[in-house]
Amino acid sequence: MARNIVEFRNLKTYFYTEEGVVKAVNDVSFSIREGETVCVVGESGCGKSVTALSLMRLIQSPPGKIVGGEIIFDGRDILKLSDAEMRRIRGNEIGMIFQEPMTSLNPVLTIGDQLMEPLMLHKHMTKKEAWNKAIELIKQVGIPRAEQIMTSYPHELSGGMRQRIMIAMAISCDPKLLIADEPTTALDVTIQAQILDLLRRLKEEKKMALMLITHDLGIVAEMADYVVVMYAGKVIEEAPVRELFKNPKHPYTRGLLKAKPVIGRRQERLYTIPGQVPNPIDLGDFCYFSDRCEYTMDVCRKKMPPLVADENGHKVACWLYEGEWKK
Amino acid sequence: MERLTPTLDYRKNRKKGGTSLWQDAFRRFIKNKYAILGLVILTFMFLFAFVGPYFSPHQDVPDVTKANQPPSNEHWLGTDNLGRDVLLRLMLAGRISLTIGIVATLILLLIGVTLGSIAGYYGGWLDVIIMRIADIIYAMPGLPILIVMGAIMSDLKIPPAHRIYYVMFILGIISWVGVARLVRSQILSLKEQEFMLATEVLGLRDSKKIIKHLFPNVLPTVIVAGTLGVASSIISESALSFLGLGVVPPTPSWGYMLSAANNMIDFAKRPWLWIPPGVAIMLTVLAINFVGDALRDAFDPRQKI
Amino acid sequence: MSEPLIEVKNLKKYFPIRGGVLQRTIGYVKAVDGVSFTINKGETLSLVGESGCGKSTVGRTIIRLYDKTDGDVLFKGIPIHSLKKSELRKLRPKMQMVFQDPFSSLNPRLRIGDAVGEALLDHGLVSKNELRDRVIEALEMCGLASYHIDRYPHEFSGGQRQRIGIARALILDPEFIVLDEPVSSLDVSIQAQIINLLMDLQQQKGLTYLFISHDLSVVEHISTRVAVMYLGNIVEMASRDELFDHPLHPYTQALLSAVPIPDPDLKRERIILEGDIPSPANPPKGCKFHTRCPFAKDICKEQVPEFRDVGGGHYVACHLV
Repeated sequence: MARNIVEFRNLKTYFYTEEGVVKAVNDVSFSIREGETVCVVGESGCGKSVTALSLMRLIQSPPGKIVGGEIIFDGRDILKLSDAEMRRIRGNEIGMIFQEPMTSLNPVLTIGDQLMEPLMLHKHMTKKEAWNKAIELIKQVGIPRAEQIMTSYPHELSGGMRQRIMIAMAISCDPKLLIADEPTTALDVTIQAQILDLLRRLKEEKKMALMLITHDLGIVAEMADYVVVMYAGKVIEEAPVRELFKNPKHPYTRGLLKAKPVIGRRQERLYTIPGQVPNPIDLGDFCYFSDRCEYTMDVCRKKMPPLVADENGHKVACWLYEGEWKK
Repeated sequence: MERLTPTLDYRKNRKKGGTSLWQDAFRRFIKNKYAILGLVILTFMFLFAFVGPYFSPHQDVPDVTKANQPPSNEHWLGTDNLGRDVLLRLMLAGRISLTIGIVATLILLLIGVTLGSIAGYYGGWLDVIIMRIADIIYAMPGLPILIVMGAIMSDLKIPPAHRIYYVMFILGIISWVGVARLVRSQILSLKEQEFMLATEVLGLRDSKKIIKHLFPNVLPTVIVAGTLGVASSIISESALSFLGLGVVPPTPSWGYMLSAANNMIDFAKRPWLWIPPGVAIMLTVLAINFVGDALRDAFDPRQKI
Repeated sequence: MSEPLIEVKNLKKYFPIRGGVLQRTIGYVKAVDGVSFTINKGETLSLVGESGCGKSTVGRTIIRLYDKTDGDVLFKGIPIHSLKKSELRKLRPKMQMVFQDPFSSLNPRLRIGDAVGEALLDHGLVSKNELRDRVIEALEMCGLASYHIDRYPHEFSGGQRQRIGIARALILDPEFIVLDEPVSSLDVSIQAQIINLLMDLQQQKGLTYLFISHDLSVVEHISTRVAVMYLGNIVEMASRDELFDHPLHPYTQALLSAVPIPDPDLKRERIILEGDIPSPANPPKGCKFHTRCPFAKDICKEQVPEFRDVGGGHYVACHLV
């Protein structure tokens, strides 16, 4: 049994706005094992991106603040590290790629400069060593004519190529964990297939753990070993991937799986989850999905269901299963 | 068809009927401490300049017997080289500078918004011509031109009372370029916004498109540019008058009063002559900048309330 | 057999590329390079494709948001691009559009009641007294409430704004609506609501849709017929069932295989295309897809394949079929 590379323990990240407090991440706990791909799934406002940014300690403060909990990375509590120590981890032991390839790269620096920077900074390479390693990285991510790319600027590359460069930058220092925040959402579907394939390959070669944030259940099915489903700042279900798709427990997860049209499965009318995500401001102690759920009971509106588990490692936070399973 | 849950009510104290972006902007503006400070200072300056003189016991006439007196109970800021009360002069000069600043700005806004709108909305060769003219004017060095104009005005022996109109006009017609560019680029980017494309698909008349859809979205930029334009017009006028090329005596002007600092003796021995106008200019321009910046922040929808 | 509502014949739309000091035209982006199809009354034709394929441009050119470069567009037999501006304006209510971005498709400074109703008033189709009732009717038909009429767009969520956009198009009683990626910016659970709404409205009002999307799963659900576009041309067009069950063009096959399916046990033969999508300013010679096609032959590099019917209304442009 591989050990945990990341453990989120009761993480709470709040945003203090003039309207009120937004509990973007509201007592979230889950783990990522070495070499494992964990997909964090959810729709807008569920807190998946904020969770990743909390791990990287990139939360803008104000208005955001990590108000509670611990994040254990490789045995150390990230939240207790100094800024300098955190900088040594970012880009080095943890890599991150973002959604928008257009804006993630600095438009006024060449690709070469941007690739060499983390190598020289974290791995203390000389310019020549960094140059060679950068060329190697470009080849690793499947871009031909590496020398030409080194002296190009971001605007000269296509979206798919930029995303590959981002990946190259993120893995350049052989991180133990790669965070990918909706890496293919802005890309065409044929390019998406290439990028997902690349991520899978790199993960194998480098034995990295991958934290993949997405809203697309198809990507989850393809990439994940383990799935964490979030809603309105809380984890409402987690399970190994096959278990989740075979036996989705939480009504929201079920609803999501039913609502998305799937190629080959034709229906008369799409199943819909009525209503919309709740107002994130000043949420109280009740199940946040209760006003959209078809199985709502009295208790759902009065108290927040805790996350309970069964023998398969399948966890769910729903009053329907309370009592059946243990905490 | 399923029922939709009602709209997310983010605001606690919501009035019936929703809050427009103008109301949001107003709320953001009020919360800005610098904005309030700026407004207070400006209100004071306006009252000082336009209402103040009525409260002064003195007249704006020379009385050489009282020349160059330091501040006293009778003359709070002393007298100038012709025996006139400096405080009174400061107030009267304020009228001139503020008026010139506002009128010049209105002129430049009129020209700039019109030309910028035409260039942005119609594009094509109109756009090219207007923008090249703008480039040429922009490339011309401002101060030398103003100086030359000032010299020409003196040469043509234009009476002092009329000079201020010429100054306002000239400042207006050489400063419109910045606003024109701003308005043009706003309109260019707005034109591509999907809601503008929608107005075309809906088949709205051109007039409706421009008045109801374009203008309200361009207005904030124009308001901010206008506000800051007043500040730069005041400074330009002060600079001109300091050089004796703008407003000339007996018309009072802060810039002209400031030129006392050019004289070694006045500079060293009679600070009450040049410090007050300097402070007045600085306070006014600072206050305008506070208000202008606050307006810009207030209109920017990316700012949270 | 219903008659064609929309006929598109060899439509071309080129955008000039300007360069140099004098902004001379140095080239063209051939966004739409010879596209032909018909849409029958009551049908939904979907245009699918990736970036640069020209599907949005087709939609916008059909309703004359852009002027055409060549070809013809007929609405009920009327050539749209030959109309004078005033005649076009009169025809506008019959052909409407729903845009992709719920955040920029509504004027942020206009109350939504005004946004939805203003066109009705401007065309003189209703009196001031009736306006409010008509607006409320349209909003309620789209799942909104009457008290929303005084609110501003920024007070609504993305899904609600799309509903407002649909109400705005619907209130004019159109016959034809171009839906340009109407659900792409929305969450999955909201997408389903909007798609159901669109299909219900189509049934109730006998609407004809041109549905533009890159999302094949949504397209499969909503379409009667599907056309696949690549770099300005249609490479395959067939009825929904035909296209998804028997895709003939290699690009269609690759597209279908690339869509991730939410079933972890499914093993798939994925066709991964090499390289990036070429620029529409400089498309490859011959068959534009040959640079990425896993089956490309010599003839594909030289000759443009003919777009022809290979049986039962199934059109393909490929030398290998």
